[in-house]
Amino acid sequence: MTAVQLRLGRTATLSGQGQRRAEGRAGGLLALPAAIYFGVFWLLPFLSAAYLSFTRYDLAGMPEWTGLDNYRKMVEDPGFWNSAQVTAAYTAGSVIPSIVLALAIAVPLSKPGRLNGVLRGLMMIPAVMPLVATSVVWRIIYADGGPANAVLGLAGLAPVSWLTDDGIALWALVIMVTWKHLGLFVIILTAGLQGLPPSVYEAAALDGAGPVRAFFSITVPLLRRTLLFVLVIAVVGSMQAFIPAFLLTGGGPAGATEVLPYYMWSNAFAFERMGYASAMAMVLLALLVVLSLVQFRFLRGGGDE
Amino acid sequence: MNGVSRRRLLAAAALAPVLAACGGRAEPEAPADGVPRGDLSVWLHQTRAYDAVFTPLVEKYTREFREVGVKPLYIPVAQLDTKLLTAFTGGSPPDVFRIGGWTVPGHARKGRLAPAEPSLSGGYDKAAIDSLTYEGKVYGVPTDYTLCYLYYRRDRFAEAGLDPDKPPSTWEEVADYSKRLTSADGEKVGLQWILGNPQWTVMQLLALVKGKGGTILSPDGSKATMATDAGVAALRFYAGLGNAKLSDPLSAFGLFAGGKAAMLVSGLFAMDLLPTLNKKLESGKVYDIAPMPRFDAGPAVVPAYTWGWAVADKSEIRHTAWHFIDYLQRPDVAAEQLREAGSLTPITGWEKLEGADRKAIEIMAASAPHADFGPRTPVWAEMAKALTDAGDAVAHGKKTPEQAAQDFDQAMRLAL
Repeated sequence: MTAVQLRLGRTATLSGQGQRRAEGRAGGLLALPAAIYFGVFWLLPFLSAAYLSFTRYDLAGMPEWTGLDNYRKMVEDPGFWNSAQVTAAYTAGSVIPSIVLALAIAVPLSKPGRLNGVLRGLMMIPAVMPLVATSVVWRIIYADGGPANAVLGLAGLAPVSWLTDDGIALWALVIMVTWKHLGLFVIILTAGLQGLPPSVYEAAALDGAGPVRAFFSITVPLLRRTLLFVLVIAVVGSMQAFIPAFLLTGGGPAGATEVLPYYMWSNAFAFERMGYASAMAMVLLALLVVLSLVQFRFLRGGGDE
Repeated sequence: MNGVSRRRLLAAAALAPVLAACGGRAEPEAPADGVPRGDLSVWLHQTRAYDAVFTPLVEKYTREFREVGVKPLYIPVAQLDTKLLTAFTGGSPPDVFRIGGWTVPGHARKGRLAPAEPSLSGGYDKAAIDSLTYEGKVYGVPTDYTLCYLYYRRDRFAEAGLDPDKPPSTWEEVADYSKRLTSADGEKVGLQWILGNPQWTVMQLLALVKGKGGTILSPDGSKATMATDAGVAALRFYAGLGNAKLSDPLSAFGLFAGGKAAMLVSGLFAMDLLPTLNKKLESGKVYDIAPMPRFDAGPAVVPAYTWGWAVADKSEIRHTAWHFIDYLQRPDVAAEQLREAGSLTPITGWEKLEGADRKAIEIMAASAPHADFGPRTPVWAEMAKALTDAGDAVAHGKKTPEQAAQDFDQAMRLAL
């Protein structure tokens, strides 16, 4: 028998079952705002998009049910396959270097010291800059005669057309987003590294393990969960990237930077094919869920908890 | 209550606004006294030169017609279409807006535009009015009308030993001159296409494809026709000029202004744009204009476009909206727009408007019989994108002309 404070200030004595019911009601009430938020801003749009993906809807009149037509069309659409390939290259090209570089920077920065604290703060500056502002800055950096070509000149290399050469433009975007997200990944990995128990390193040192051996045999395995988190947000972020292509290259040259979110946007808001764009969004969502599950499958276990 | 229960009556009252919103809407009537009144929202793309004309005009109009308020919203030209689309979709479009003639079929087919009042569409160039017409109805009045010219740098011609007073008149000559104007490292070229821009790609390729005797879409607009001898030859010619890897934030306009490109295809507006990019660019001295080239023994094809003023079908004050538009299109205003902003309103007799570069107007007048506004299709944006993909792909050497033409036709099969 437990005393439960009820709404009107009365104190009542309830059985175990009654208490569970009351707690359930209270829990439900507390969860209600989050449930409403989830329902209105996630579930409804998701269900709408899922429904639209089976329709032909040109932003006028009512959507017309077409079954799997949009999905069939996607298979035949060379624009979709081009953007899927571009997205895959963009994701691989930005995620792997970002994480490797972030880890390389985080290891020394995770050590105590005032200078390291300042450097960690500085690393975050690009991450907190709005992506639109970043894109404008990098447009200047990549201009003919801009800082990027000046750096190449100092290295004795010929200038390149960063944003108009179809073989380079995608990598120009990759460099920009790597620079942008590096600081955030460094901070997350630094936090993970600082949480690792020093006693393990002390034991390894006593056993004669050097810094390289300790890094690969202790740091990386113990940091798996943090790495998994960084990997998942990096992959999801890269596969949803839209602004760099929209602002720096407009998907060009010759479709070389037309990532899937940009192609979806074109279909939705330039061609007014909302049904087809929704179908692509569903495919992208499914792909992200599968990729995230695979990442969890391979990297979970062990951990830096 | 004759069998109608109170509950049913309440339900009907509650549903009335919903039913009214769902049902057909009566067309707003013009006020009996004909006096314009109400608050007009006006969306247009911004150019500094046009603002200098438009802003005083609005002030003058609201002083003259005191019951009208005008709220302009200036939108960068690249975002205007998207913003209009979201406004239409959200059910809250502006009353008056500037619209590219090429987008009229797409919007008109979806019932977003109000037909122009018959009295307004009479006094304009027929070709310009036709480009704002869909299925026999006129949906706007033209403004900012242009035909394409060949812009060329006199200084670059002189450097290359070419006579600056004898610009190329055929595409074959353009190709020949381009070879002589191209530096060994490819950093300086002859003609540079405007790449990556759907509207300009359509106009540039239109001149080439039609000049070769072909079409981009079939006359009824039902299928793509680039994978033909004419289409492939046009793409091959397109790939053979300029250097796709040259970079400038303002595309070929910037390259021309900086002297890297010696020739450019563009419209009347560039005469005002170019000196803002490079103060040394003086028409007739540093650069000049010439009529659009044609292929040897081919037909003359002069790509053209016009913007228009249009009114939303949902506007509750259509009479006021068209009244305001009519005010903007008066001959004295048209002359001022041409003089101050280089924007040509194609009113009847536009050839005689004073204030603009006389040579430019004379070339336009001579080219007008060959004006071609390109395919009139409700899927213009998709066509332009697919054509840009094809043009850019051959320019960058990613695809052969045959492959690019086939891919264009395939993309259009999915769209049409």
